[in-house]
Amino acid sequence: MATEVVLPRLGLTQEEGTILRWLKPEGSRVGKGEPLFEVMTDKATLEVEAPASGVVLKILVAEGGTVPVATPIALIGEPGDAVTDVPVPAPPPPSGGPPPTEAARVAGAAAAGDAPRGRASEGRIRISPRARAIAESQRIDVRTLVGTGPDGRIIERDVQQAVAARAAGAVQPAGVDSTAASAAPQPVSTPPARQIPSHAAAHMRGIIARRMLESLRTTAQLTLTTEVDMEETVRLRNEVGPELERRERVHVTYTDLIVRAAAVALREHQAINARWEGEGVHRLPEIHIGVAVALEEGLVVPVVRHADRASIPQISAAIRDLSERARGMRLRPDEMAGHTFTVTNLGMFDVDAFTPVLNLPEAAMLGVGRLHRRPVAAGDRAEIHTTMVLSLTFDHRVVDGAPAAQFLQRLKHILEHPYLLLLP
Amino acid sequence: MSQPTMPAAPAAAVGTRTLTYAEALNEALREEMRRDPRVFVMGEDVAVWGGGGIFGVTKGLVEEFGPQRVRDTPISEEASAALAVGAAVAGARPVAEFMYADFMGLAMEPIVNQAAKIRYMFGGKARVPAVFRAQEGAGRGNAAQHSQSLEAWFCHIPGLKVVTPSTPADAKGLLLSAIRDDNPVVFLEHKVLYATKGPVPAGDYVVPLGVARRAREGQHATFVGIHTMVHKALAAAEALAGEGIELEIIDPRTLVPFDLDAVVTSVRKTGRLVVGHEAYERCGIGAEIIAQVAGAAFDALDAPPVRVCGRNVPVPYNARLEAAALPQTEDIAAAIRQVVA
Repeated sequence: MATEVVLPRLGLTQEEGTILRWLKPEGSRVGKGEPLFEVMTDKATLEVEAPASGVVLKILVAEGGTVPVATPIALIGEPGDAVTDVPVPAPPPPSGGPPPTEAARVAGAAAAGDAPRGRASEGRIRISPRARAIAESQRIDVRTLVGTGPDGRIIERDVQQAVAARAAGAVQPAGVDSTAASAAPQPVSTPPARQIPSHAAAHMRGIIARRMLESLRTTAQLTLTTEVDMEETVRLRNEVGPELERRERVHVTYTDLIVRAAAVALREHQAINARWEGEGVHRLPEIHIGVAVALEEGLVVPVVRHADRASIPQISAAIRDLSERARGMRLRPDEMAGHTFTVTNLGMFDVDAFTPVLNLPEAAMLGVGRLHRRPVAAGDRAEIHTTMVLSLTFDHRVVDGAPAAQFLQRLKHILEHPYLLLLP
Repeated sequence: MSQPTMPAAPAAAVGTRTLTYAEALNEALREEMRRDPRVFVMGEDVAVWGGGGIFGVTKGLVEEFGPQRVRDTPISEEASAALAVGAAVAGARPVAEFMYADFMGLAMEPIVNQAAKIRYMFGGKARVPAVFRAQEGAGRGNAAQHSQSLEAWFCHIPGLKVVTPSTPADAKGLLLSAIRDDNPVVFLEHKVLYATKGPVPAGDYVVPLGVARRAREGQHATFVGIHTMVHKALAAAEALAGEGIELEIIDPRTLVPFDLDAVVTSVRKTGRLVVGHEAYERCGIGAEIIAQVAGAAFDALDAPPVRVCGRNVPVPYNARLEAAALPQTEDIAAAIRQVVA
């Protein structure tokens, strides 16, 4: 009896994945635990191991194909095992389209076999029947909605909100779907090796598009800015950096110092380290800071765990490791989850200040502008100092303007007195 | 027993008094016995001892109607139920009382295999217009063998109607309908409700079987419950109203036939359903109600329906444990908050 290889769920939010590369071609022998294929999820590219030993009897999803979690994608067995009764899985239906036909549903159930049926349902969008019915009648694409019900379920009010937003001219009807192109698998004649298939990049773009829109549509976010005198932080880095480089082989960046400063400030301003859940504010006991990393394909945000408990060299090492692996698309999904605050830096592009878009579900995000030397008033004289603008976006549902400003003020104070960063 | 004769035409309902639930039942029995000579009452201690059953529902009846129509029976529930079935087939309209619903286990053969089946198996040539009355429920420290709510047993059996009044007016109006029904009716009262008071129309006040009552109007969630749960839900609704949650409460009043339309209409409005009963949660009537609503109005549900029921344990004697085993007002409020979250 052949063993079915199904597309695994590799992250909490993963609903589908794209097969980038089969590492064992059809007909080759594979041992249980050996890498079998590469899959691109909504957040990362991963190698997946063979669930059983045997011969790869049949590959059901070609390289480049995108299928829902738990879909059978290959069969492993011994030559002679029957393989003919497994139909090739159907691609996921384009969002906003009609519900799957009966034939497609039957085929899907057959393809899923006995056990994987339940697992397939885990990949579904969590939505109440009532919300789904209203969304269908109103032609709202449920994949663009953020659930505010228990466990993030989309409920009636979420659909009604989208209906109201569309009435206000904010949203296109569901018929115009930016992610539809990524849903249809495209045949790939030659393996793309390390290259990310263009449709997979489009898929990632679709996910980013959806999340950004969700963030702006479902929160009350606004941005505060403040200018920080970075003279002391520059001095600290110039004096401590080379020592750390020599002794610990870590290269301390300004981002590292700002992440450390934000973690220290968050510990003192717990109202910022929070999220909106259902009908109230939920303060988070731990501080995990996401660091935005720009890739050609789009943005990823790996997370520095317990950033408030980490020393500057530890933070530097963690950020360097995470961002290097992010550039190779080698992050695990769990390394991009659980953030309670995010830092994003556009200073290298000469941006002074900007309005970061909240990285849901967190309640605040810090944008870092460029460091530059400019004249500042020192008493009655003008002096040349290195300054930087910090932009704090926060969700006004979770925290009011004054406490958000106090947090930003504290952050400014720490960076202007950076020896505070050395305290445990 | 004398040969039954035909009943008189019902008198019109006139005026309203405040009666207890027990007094309302008593009034229904008395008025129907006056009107219809085929009606008689039987059961343990219904006539002589203690003055009309342990809760006084048949109080004074033996004095007015005599021992032939108000008959004490031995402690033999099976014989009592079988006698009622035979009398009903022969043309009488017996109202057989069981002291505790828990004891009806002894009478299941005549109720389930005879009363519920005879009309069907004789092709309609025989009918069983019997009422099997009992009280169920907990809250009086009567312990595991005298506190159960067993309505689901009877709802399971085709051929039986099942009635569960929660107010004095419904107790009277539904008992009149039950006695006049040509089919066997299991009429389940609640021991804690006997002393509760409410307005009861005088005269011939009939509440049809299969018509629910909306006990409270609201738009945020629907609660369906019977017996004490209606009252606990009303108390919970007061607390919830302070939080901006308006609870709609539906008392189905009869479980068979069940007024699904009333529940579905409410759920279509609110999108949320909580079902409550004192009976054990497992395989209780709540599961049936939720299944029926899910089948009829799946696309109206905005949250998974929730049950607030008795725990799946024998009802404890200890007062604190008994309270913990029963669904309370706060449990209902918590369930409502959960579904509207």
